[in-house]
Amino acid sequence: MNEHALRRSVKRLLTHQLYGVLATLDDSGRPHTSIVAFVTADDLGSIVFCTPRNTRKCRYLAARPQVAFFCDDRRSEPEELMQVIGVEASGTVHEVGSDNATLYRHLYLAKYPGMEAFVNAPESLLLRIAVERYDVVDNFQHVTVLHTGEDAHE
Amino acid sequence: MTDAFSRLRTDLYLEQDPANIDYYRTLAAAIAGKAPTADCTLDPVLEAATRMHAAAAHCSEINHAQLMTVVGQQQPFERLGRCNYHDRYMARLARRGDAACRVALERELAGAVLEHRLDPAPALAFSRSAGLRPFDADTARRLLRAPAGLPRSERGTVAGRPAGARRDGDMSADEALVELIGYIGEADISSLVPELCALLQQQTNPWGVRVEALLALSQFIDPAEMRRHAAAAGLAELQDILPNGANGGQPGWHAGLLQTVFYGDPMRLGKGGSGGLGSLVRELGGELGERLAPVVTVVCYDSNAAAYPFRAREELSPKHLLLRVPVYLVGRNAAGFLRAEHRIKAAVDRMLALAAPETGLVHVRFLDNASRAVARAARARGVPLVVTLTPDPHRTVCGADGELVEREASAAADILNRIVVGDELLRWSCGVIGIGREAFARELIPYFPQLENLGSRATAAIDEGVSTRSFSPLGDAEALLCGESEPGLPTVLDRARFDFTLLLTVGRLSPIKGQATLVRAWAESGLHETFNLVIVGGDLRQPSEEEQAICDDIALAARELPAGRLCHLPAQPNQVVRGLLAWCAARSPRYGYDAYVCPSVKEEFGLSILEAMAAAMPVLAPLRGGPRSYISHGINGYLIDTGSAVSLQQELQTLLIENRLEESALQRLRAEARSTVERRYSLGAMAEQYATFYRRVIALHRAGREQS
Repeated sequence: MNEHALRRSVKRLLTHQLYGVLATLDDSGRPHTSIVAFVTADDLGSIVFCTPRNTRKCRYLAARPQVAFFCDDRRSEPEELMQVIGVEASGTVHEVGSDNATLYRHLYLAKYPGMEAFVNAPESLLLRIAVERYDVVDNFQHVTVLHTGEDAHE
Repeated sequence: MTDAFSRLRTDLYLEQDPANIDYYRTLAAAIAGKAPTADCTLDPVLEAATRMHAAAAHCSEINHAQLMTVVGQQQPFERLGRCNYHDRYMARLARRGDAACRVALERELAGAVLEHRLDPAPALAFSRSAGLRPFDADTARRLLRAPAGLPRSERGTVAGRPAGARRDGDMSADEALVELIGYIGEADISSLVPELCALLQQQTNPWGVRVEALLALSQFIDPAEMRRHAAAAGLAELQDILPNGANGGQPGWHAGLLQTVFYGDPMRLGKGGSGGLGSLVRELGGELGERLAPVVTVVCYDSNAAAYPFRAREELSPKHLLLRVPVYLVGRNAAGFLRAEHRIKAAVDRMLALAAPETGLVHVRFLDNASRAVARAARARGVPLVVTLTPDPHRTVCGADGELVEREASAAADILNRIVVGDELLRWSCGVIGIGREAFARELIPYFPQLENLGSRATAAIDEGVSTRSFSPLGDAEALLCGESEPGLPTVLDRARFDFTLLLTVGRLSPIKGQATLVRAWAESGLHETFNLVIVGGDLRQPSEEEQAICDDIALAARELPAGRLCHLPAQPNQVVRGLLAWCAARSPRYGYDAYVCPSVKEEFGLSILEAMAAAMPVLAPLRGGPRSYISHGINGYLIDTGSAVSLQQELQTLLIENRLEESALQRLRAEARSTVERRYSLGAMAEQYATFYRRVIALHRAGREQS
């Protein structure tokens, strides 16, 4: 798969999948995972999700903003082993700044129209993973790395 | 809300390259109502369109052979003049022709015209659109003088085409002459100044032709001489908008923001194409002038129609200037703008050249070729562009059930064109505005999936607003509604029914505004026994074709009723409308309370509804479109099904008769309505949001320029 096709494949997956798993680290370095509803943006440069401020992941992110995020298209059927695509995105989490908040919020609500009250709640935070690379796994164990931003064209 | 077309747009965004013809073939198939696949059979018009769109998307430079392959022709220009769509897109490709291609095209164009294989009119229009200069001074002079070249015997009719054989690319003799004059100016053929003077001074020439002659002349003669010519021709009014005009080469004005209006005239609200948008740009322009920088609103004045007295320059407020720029149009609609894109661009270019020292930014509001022309002019001068994005025509591709609808190839080509234009405007813009705070999530992102990757563009979702200052109830409502203040109106209220309850609707006359449907619903039910109906809108003295058709529909719907129950007033100044709304809200009619009804099939936002709510009137507004975002049914107004006269009749009956509000509930609804507008939709709040957004766009543009 060339890079163009790979990017398209990752974008398709992240557009159509509703949920992914966010991995954070606590103060002692112990990993913690949680399921998040997300939206992809900035031509794979960003993954945006929303979370209440008083969650564990929020607390962990404040201290250690480096994260991994995983998403795949499995349906838990044995015969699909070779067809499943899994994507791990790694990067750093930032709170969405006011300049971009409108568009990210709208992108999120366009995908999850029923989550308006959650997104608009004062205790909710809109966070963005600035993705540095994607590790794409297909054909059971075939791994390809996709860099985002300027690195992608190197 | 998603439909089959929005899902297709997302799929195409994810799966296809927009420079690939399959992208456009799939899009065209869907718009035509076919199964959206790339290998479908398309009508030749659409087929050609898809080839040209794809080529335009992936070629920054094209050679002659490639161009001919894309347009599917053996002989160059064999199809020129048959279809505006074909001509304009071929010209767009020709603009990207390499040097050899452009030389060859010029040679072929000149040869085809001289050998009478091609009408000069479409050749001139094509040359101007493509920036080609195939005709020298002698040829241009010969075309001016030779009736065979540009037949003028059938003024206003198709040049050189037998009756019944009209094609949409055909031109009247006047339009052909306008193209030739424009060409002379753009090709800098100064030796034809005497001929241009003669065209200007000849009073029997149509206004549009003489205006074009003056515009061309202004490039060749000094300001003093031009003023003398303009005055002698009775066109002194144009001096303010001419290059080197009244200020003798000095810039005429400064525009922090230049906004354009192509539908109607903001100073003629409710007449022709002028509606809520005209009111918005006028009011907003004044506010922004104070908060941001001087605002210039450029209004397109159709020099072909020339239906009302022309004033080139009006100072609407100390920092808001309105300039009327004549453009020769054949129809003030998407098709007319496609045909005249090069003329509009030339006109806007002249305006931008007049500005000093530089225009801060340019804002366009519709997805059509008029906006495209403005955007091209702005881009050429490095002026940042802001576009108000609406999913129009995207949301019309599917029917009410959300599935694709079959349509004629020409209608599909028009829609495809506007969708491609919308994508271009989005790509060229530095800032994108959505109307209404939820516009992006609810309506824009589903149809414009590329919004996920906006790069350094700024976005804002802005609620529109209206003035919330208190208006005094109209003192002479009886004189107005009973026809005394404007004698000669055929449809006014009977004085004996003056205290009857009133349904009021305000807006330009258009099928989409639903006035005739409202009259039918009101007339065919018992409502007319208890309620008078007042319609405000339209130019009733000099109605356009569309306005006349609505008036005829209204008359037909009310033909069985006794006179005096229906009042149709022409468009009124905003001050009068606001006074009338205040009067309705304040009085106690014989039965119940007066109500404002908006019968539009769909409202983009509904400024007239907000004005009624600001006056604390109970409003009934369409379910479809913008009102959903500010009306909570039964709390601050009502959302009703305006889809047909039957549904409208049922809604009116239920809400105004069966579930009529008691006094305390009515007062609560009035207070909620007014409070909604004051809190969220005031003009001041809107202007502040716009000003903040514009500042951001300008800052981003400057930062980008400094970086590069």
